[in-house]
Amino acid sequence: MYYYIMEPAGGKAVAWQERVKTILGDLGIAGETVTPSPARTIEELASLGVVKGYSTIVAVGSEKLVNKIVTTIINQKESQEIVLGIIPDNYESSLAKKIRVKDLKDACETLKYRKLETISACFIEPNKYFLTEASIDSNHPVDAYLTTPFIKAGLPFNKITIRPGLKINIFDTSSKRSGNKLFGWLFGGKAQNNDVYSSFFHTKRLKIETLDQTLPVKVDDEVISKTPIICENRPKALKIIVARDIIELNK
Amino acid sequence: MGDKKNLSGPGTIVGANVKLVGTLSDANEIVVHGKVEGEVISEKSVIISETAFVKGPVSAEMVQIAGEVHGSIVATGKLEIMPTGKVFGSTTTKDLNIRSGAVFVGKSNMPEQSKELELKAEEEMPEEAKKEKEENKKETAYEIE
Repeated sequence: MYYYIMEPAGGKAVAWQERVKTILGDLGIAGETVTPSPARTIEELASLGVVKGYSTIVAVGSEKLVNKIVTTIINQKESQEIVLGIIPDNYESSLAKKIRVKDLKDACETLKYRKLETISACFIEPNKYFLTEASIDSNHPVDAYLTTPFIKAGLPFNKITIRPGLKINIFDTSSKRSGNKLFGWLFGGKAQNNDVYSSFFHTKRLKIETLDQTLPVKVDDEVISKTPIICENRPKALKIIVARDIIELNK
Repeated sequence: MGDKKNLSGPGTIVGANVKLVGTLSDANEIVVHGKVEGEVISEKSVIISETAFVKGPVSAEMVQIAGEVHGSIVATGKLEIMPTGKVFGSTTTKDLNIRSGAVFVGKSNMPEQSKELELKAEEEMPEEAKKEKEENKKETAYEIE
C-alpha cells in the first residue's frame, strides 16, 4: 500500500495534483494521500506513515519535500524496509534524472512497476540527509579549512556545493580572475574554460570550517545547518523506486 | 581521498589558491593548480599546472609537470616536463620527455625494459666499440645530477 505526501498546492499546482490522483487511480495504485499543514509538518507526516506500517512512502512535489522525507525515513530505525517513491514536479531536476523519469505519466507508471535501487545519501551532522545538493554561499571570498581522513586544505571560496557521493565543488571567484575575464572580453579573447581557481574533491567524510564567521548550509534554499559542518557519504542508505531500463530494438 | 574503485568517475582538482597538506590519492586524474605538501598518487594521470607547487612524491601512469615539484616522480607510462616545469628530485619512467626550457635537477631512472634494450644494443655492437666502452667505464664512473 502506498502513502502519498503531497505538497500544499495553490493555483496551477492544484490541477497538477488532481491529475496525479487521477493517473494513480487509473493505474490502481492510489493510496492514502496527506498534505502538510501548519499543524502537521512534512517530517511528522512521514513519521506517521512509518508508524502506520506503510512500506512505500511517495513524495509528490519538489526536491525540498523529497529531502525532508528522506531525512525522516533514514532516521527512523524501524524504517529499513521502507521504500521511497518520487513523483517530481520538475522533470529537468537531478532527482527526476536519478529515477530516470521523463514526465508525470512515466513517474506514476514507474511507481507501479516498482524497480528498486539502493542509493547513497549525503549526511550532515547531527541528523540531516539529502539526495540533491547542499551549498554554502558567500558574497565575498571566505577562508575555510576542508579536512578529510587524508588531507587538510586551506582555501578561499565564494561557494561550496556538496552532492551525493560526497562530491565537493569549491568555487573561488576572486576579483583577479574577474579582471582577467573582463580583459579577455574587451580584447576579443575567448572565455577561459580552464578555471584554475575552482577545486573538486570526492571523499567519504569531510569537515568544513569557515574562519572568523559562521555561514549557513542550505539545501533547496532552506538552512539546514551552519558551519562548521561534518558531512558523510552514507552508502546504501535508502531504497528508491526507479524506472525500468528500456531496451530499444533496432528493427 | 577519492574512491579507488570508481575508475570512471571524476578526479580531483586542487585550485590555484588552495594550500593542501596530506596524501592526495585518486583512482582517476588529479590536477594540481595550488600548493600541495604530501604525496600525489593517481592510477591514471597527474597534471601539475603552471601555478602549482608540490613538495612530495608524485606517482601515476602519466605525469605532466608544468609547475614546480620537489620530490621523486614515478610514472609507469609517460613523464613530460613542460617548458615551464621545474623538477627537483629523481624520476622513474620508461618514457621521458623534457621540453626546452624545463628545469630538471635530479637522477633519471629507466625501468628494467630499457636495460634489456641496452643489453641488446651492446650485443649488436662491433667488438672494437665494446672494448672502447669497457675502457671508458673503467676510466670514468660518475653520475650526472
